[in-house]
Amino acid sequence: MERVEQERTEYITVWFWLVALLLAGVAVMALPVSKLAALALIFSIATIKAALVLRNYMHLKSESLFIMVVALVPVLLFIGLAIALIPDIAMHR
Amino acid sequence: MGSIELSANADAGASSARDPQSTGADRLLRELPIGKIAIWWFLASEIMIFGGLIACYVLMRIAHGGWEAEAAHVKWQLGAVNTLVLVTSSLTMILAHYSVERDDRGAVSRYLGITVILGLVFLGIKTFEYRTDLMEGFTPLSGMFWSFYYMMTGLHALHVSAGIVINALLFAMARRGTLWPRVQQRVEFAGLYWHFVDVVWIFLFPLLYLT
Repeated sequence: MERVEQERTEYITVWFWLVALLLAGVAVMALPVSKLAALALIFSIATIKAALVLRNYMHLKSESLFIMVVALVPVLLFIGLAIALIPDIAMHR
Repeated sequence: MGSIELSANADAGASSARDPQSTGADRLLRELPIGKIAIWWFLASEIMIFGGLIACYVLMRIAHGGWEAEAAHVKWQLGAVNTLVLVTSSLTMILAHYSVERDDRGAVSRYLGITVILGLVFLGIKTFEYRTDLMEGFTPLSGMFWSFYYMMTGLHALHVSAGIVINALLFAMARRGTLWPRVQQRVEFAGLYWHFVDVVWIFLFPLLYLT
């Protein structure tokens, strides 16, 4: 029962972090940094937010290796697809 | 019921360890509910759909000089509010799952109901945003940025709609008391889908509104 209570606190704490990171992501737009640095910050924040949801709300932290592989392989595939197409699309003017 | 299944699984596991014919797939199916494998398999296909779309968008945006003028017309304030709504709905969904573990039936239906309402709020804000964009003359044919914008947010909104239908069904079943006894898996699998929709939006928001 104590473990279940602890889980509830954890879920609410994660929500506060998600809101804080949302505000941080929006605040980056007002920072006097280069476009590239702003993009890096914004997408780093988005990745942390996604990881928080995946790890805590989707319980990937306690899932079996098989489920983790099922989730990770398509991510690697589409990142690979994007990288492979960069010379053809993004650099082709 | 759970402990009986658990002990049956443990017995099967022990006998399979002695059984030379037992395969890795046999062991996997004993350790994981088939429904969980199915939902994650489905989510993997969804990752490829949204991932492919996002990859195309990023590549085309780099190739066409950034589309900064077009992106400046998107209302990031509405996108931020919608992110807050969806993130909060993820919290209420996981709290519904948590209430299942505590066997608090009233809380399960309450949190499922709030999740449905928040989903509808998300769609309401999105509809308002579409209406404003269209009235300003930004249609899906106004350029490549707008084509991607309507395609990506529209596909996501369709997924939100499907999630609302699933959660509304669970809510109705919870109110009638027919959600039990398979409540654990039903709420968990619906939750996995709903959180996935949230994760997709977490990336769509900066891609379309903040860059």
